[in-house]
Amino acid sequence: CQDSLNINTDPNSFTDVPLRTILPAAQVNLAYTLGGDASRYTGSIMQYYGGHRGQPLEYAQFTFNASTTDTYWSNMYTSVLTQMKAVIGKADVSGDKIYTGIAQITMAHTFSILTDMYGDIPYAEALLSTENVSPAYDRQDTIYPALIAMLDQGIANVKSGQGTKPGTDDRVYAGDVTKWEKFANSLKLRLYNHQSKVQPNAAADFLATNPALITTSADNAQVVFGSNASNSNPIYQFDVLSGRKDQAVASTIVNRMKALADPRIPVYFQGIVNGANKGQYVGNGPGVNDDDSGETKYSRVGSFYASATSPVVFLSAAEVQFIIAEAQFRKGNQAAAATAYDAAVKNDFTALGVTGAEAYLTTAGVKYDNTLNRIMEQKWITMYQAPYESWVDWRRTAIPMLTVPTVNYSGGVIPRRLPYPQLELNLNRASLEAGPGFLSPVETMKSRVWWDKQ
Amino acid sequence: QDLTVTGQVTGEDGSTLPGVNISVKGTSQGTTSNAEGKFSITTSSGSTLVFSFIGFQTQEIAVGSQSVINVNLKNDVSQLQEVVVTAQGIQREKRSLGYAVSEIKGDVVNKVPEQNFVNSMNGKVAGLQVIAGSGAPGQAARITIRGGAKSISGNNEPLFVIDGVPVSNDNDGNGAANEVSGAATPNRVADINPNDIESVSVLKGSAASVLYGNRGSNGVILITTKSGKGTKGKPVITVNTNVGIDNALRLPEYQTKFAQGSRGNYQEGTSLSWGPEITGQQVTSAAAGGTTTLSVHDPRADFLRTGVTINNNVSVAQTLEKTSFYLSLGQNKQTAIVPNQGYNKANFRANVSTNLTDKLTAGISVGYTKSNGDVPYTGQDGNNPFFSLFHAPVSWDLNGYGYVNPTTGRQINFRGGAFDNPFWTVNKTFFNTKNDHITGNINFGYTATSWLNFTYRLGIDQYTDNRKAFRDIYTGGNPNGYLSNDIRSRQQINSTFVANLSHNFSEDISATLSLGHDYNQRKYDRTNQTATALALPGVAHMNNATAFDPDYEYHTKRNLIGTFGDLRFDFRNYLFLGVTVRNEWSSTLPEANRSFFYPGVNASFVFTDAFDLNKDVLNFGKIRLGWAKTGRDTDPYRLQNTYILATAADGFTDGISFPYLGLPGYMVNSTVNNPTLKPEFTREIEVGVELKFLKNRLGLDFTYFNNKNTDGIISLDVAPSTGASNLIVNSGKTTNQGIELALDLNVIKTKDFNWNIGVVYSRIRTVVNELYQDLDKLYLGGFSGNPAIYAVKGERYGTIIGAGYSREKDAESKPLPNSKIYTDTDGYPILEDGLALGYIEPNWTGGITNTFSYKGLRLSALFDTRQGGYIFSGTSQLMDTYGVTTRTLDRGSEIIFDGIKEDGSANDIAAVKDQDWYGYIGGANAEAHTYKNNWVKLREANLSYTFTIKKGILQAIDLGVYGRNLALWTKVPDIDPESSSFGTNNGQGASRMAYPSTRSLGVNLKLTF
Repeated sequence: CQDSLNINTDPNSFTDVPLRTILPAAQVNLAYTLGGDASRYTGSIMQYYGGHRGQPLEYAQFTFNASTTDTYWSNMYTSVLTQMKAVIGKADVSGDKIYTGIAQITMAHTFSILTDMYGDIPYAEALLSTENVSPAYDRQDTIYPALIAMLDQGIANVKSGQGTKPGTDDRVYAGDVTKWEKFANSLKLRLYNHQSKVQPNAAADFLATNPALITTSADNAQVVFGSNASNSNPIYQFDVLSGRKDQAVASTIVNRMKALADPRIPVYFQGIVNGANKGQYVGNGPGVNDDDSGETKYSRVGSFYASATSPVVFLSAAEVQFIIAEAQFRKGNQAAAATAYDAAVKNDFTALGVTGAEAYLTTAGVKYDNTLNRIMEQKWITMYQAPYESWVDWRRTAIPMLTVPTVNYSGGVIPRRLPYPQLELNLNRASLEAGPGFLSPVETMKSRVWWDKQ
Repeated sequence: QDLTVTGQVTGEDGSTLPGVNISVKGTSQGTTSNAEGKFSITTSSGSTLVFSFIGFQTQEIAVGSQSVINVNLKNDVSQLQEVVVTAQGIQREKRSLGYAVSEIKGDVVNKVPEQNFVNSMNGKVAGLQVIAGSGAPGQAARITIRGGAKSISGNNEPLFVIDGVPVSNDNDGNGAANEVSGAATPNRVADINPNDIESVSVLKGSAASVLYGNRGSNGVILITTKSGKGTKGKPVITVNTNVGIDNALRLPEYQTKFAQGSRGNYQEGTSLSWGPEITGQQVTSAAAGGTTTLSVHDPRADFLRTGVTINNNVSVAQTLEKTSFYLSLGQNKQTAIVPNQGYNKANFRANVSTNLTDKLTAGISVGYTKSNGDVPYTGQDGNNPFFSLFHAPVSWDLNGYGYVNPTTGRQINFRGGAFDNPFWTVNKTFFNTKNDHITGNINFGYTATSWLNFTYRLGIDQYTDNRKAFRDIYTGGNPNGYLSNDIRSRQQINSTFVANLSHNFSEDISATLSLGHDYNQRKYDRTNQTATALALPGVAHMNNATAFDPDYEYHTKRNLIGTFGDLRFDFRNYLFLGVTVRNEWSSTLPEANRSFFYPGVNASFVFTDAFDLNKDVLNFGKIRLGWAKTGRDTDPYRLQNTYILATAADGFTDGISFPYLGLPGYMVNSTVNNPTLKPEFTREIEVGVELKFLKNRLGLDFTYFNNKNTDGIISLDVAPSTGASNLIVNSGKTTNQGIELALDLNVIKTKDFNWNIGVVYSRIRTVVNELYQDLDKLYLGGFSGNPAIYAVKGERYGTIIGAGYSREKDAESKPLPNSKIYTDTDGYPILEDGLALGYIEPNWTGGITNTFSYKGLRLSALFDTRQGGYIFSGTSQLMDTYGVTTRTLDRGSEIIFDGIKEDGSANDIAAVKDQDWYGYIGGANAEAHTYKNNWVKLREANLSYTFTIKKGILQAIDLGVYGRNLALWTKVPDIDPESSSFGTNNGQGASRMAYPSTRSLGVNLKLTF
């Protein structure tokens, strides 16, 4: 009798799995989420994307309701952070410190993007599952130092070389600990640079310690996708495989790059597919409700970032050089800024496989002119690869100039924060109220995060 | 002086009566008649024999010197010795039951033909509610008893039992639970042939169903199929055929003035009809291949057609010397109101029972159904043909423009994106289901002595559903094509053993005791192969695939063991007391909690007999009282945390599934299981009265019930910042109370003319008392964002929560009474998310059936209604956004919205009612499209004439016409408010581009030989 009742072991899942099977799951989830939802929200704000219908249009009109980002927020916490926490838990037992380090760097990376998008978020009490079902919200100014510390721990752990060395299961660097160290330092540099309004010299001070950074695009931190549908790139899945056809690129970026005669246009954008204007590069006006599901009016994201096998870039040599350029600019070292600026553009061209960087850098609107504006505009073009970083840059520098869509649901401003998810409002309300406060979506979008000092 | 008396007992109609109690008056001596009605008893010459049998008048015969006594028992009408089938197949006199049982005869459910007999139950049983998701052939229906909310988030549908064997009513919805998309697959009880149904007993409450325990706690629907009994030795052959036609009951009202386009400009490729007024102007049209004259078309008429249902059935029933049998063959073919879809069933049934010896009977019952269908996708799904049909612009020549480009093979559609041309959907895509379903049992009965008998039944329910979904290359949502072979099978084995004992303590007091044991095993297996790209167009075969998703495999298995007892005392046939107990062991609960026990008691008091009242007015009166506790286990595999196959998804795309570039990947499951789960419990009390007046001319059955449901097993949503999405917990409490009323009135009863009125009414209130700690709402189903259906603490079960108007609020953020709506600087109302927009539970439901008969002529009509509660119409919301409804004819006009500005002054800013207005009011605003869900339907009507033929082999001809869903009265716009887009799950109350329900008309011919 008991035997016929002892049959409740799930045959469809596993009670234990090796580390090497959890790591890629979390990395691919992070890449899919950053390349997908995170880029669609922030790419619309930063006017790379100009959706003409459905949710892409809503984003372009800044209709970020509380429920808009539920899935994104959930994926970041449950499909990335929880998984990396499990990796750390298992690796601590087995002594596989490289895995611990990679997981710490990835967690710091993930938390940093969340806090940059939302401000105060659950951090110290997060990820405790049943032990704390209402995690408190931590202030962003306390999260930032904690993330730097976590990155330092991650660096120490990957450099220790102890335990099993990851192989192809590490989808970012295939277990290359030197590159992980460079990525972690580059992340630190990014986070110091984010603090330009509250600690203007933080990035330059860090650079003065000569950290090992990502300096060539061969070392870019990125996840590459596969040609099979179930392994393919998130933009490709959204724009092509889903058949939705409601995403387009925005006129803001297309027109600016056309004005600069930017050689990256053909890999950035796909020419109009059908109709009289076939092959032309045209962007939809930001927030313009103008259904183009027939693909006769507007361009889509192009081949480099929207093919099945396109990478999702976490952090690139180009971005590092732009940060260096900005830091040097702030220190008044124009020569060093110019060098870094040129290196940034060249690195981006190399990564994209586009030639003509040298010539491009000599043209009137591109050649370094000792202004922050020049650095940030080129960085904006490059950061098409990671629009959430552009959004941070815009909030810090107000560069580039963006247009507020005629029809908008943000109270007439460009959003400075994302509204907290409905799931948190519903399920963790007391913590939210005790922390950042219980803010309506529009009020949240108008308010600033800690480093976005007025 | 001892004397052996033999004889035979027969009924009024001459049939032999087995099982009649024969006792010697004043002694405990007795026997029962055998299968041929024969008996033998030893007694003395001066004694008196008492013949008693359920449903017959008791007869006393003085033995004298007779050695042969043949007895003819008279039917007992006045005593209403109605026998009903109760839990575990135990037959009881209805008068003895302390709980509500509704029995309906087979002809009541099949007089107006319906492929899915569940839909025929609507309006016929008080407290029973059926929601047909849509009018698509084969579509599953949700059925609930007494509100269907005993489990906060578990299954709330009743258990179906066919001839004593519990069967699966799963619909194996194509998507995950509570999705608003997926294919309209049938619920498996729909496989039964309605023509085979002899009767349906509905055990409504816990007191009635306690013996089924776990699985019967939401009520039980006991289906008894026909047998050869009562055919008096002659074969009875019945041939039944009917043909019906179906049309959409209701379609939205369309504007026929404005063309496709945006901001007044003609534009193809858009989903919007905000183009210019159609005045016969010339426009450039890619679809027309150049310049064309804009004109008004009727895409709905172009696409929809009349569905046809053909139903043929032949059966033969006979009682032979020791054996009786019933055999039937049925065929049912229904074509949809859209091209190329439909659902077909072929049914076979064989029921045989035989007396192996005087004491041992054996029976076998087998039902086999082979069905196949091309079924639609529903709701928010690119493959739902109604999605694009419903907003196809009137300027689009749906027939004339075609759906496929003959040179390129690409799709021609009025719009782009994932919603296809409806003709493309029905010609270039399909979802096919092929199902083989067998249910059956072998049973034995052994009469050991006059006071002891045993029954044993071994039942099986097994089906395999082979599903093939195909989308050709250039389908909107699958531009590279798609093919899936999905094989799902369920198997259920049920073994039940019951011993029945009876004893007469005295002339006044007798008792029966049933003791039983049952074992139930349920298995589910699924394998699925999916191709995500195809090589050649039009070939729905895996050899045509160029890319695959990883194969999918899933299995579950669960066992349930129960023992039960039912003890019943009978005092003078007017006072009855029953005690039921059951203990259950479930494999899905942890070892420490897997055994659980629950009791029930019930009593029945026939006061008209007890007090020997004058029966001229009130000829029968009974009070009943029942109380029971029942428990429910949970789904398999919810106790232990595991790693699951890794995926990455964003809600918009199919996402990533592992293996990834050849690498394995697993993830910590975001649902945190619970190793200490306990069963859910329900405690229910019910009281009722049954009254019959004026020699049964007026019958009334009233029930009040009240149940408390505790320890609900909930998959609790938790804040994602915990790192988990759901916790499995025991928590929550709901209470549910209501009244049920059934009335049966013979208004006119003469030899030739009869007029009968049957009324059912129920009023149910379910309240969510507690959820989990301080949690105030629990997700039940819905659109991922807006709106969704929640269980809200302190509210009635099922609340629509979504975006609505932002109103003046008090200090606690509660809207003030009669508060004004805030408007913004453009004169638009301000919206806010997360508002409670209404409960989904009806205030009351009811049905009224009028039946007139004059000689062979019979006319009957059933009206049923639902009053109260709310429904969200996503159809209306979207269609306003698209600009296709008559409501949007006021486009261009100005409105000063009745609201207040932020400073509190009245809004004086005029807004233009243009596509932005309707996009805003329609697109984001759920409140504007949430309606009171009140309706009345003429559900069934039927006119038939029976020709009785005295000579020849043909005995009777029955000829009739019938109709179903003939008329609908409601203020809900655009849709049939009975439709539902969330399948058969708990989250009801929302409809979005649902397949229209259909109006059926048909003729019926029945020949009896």
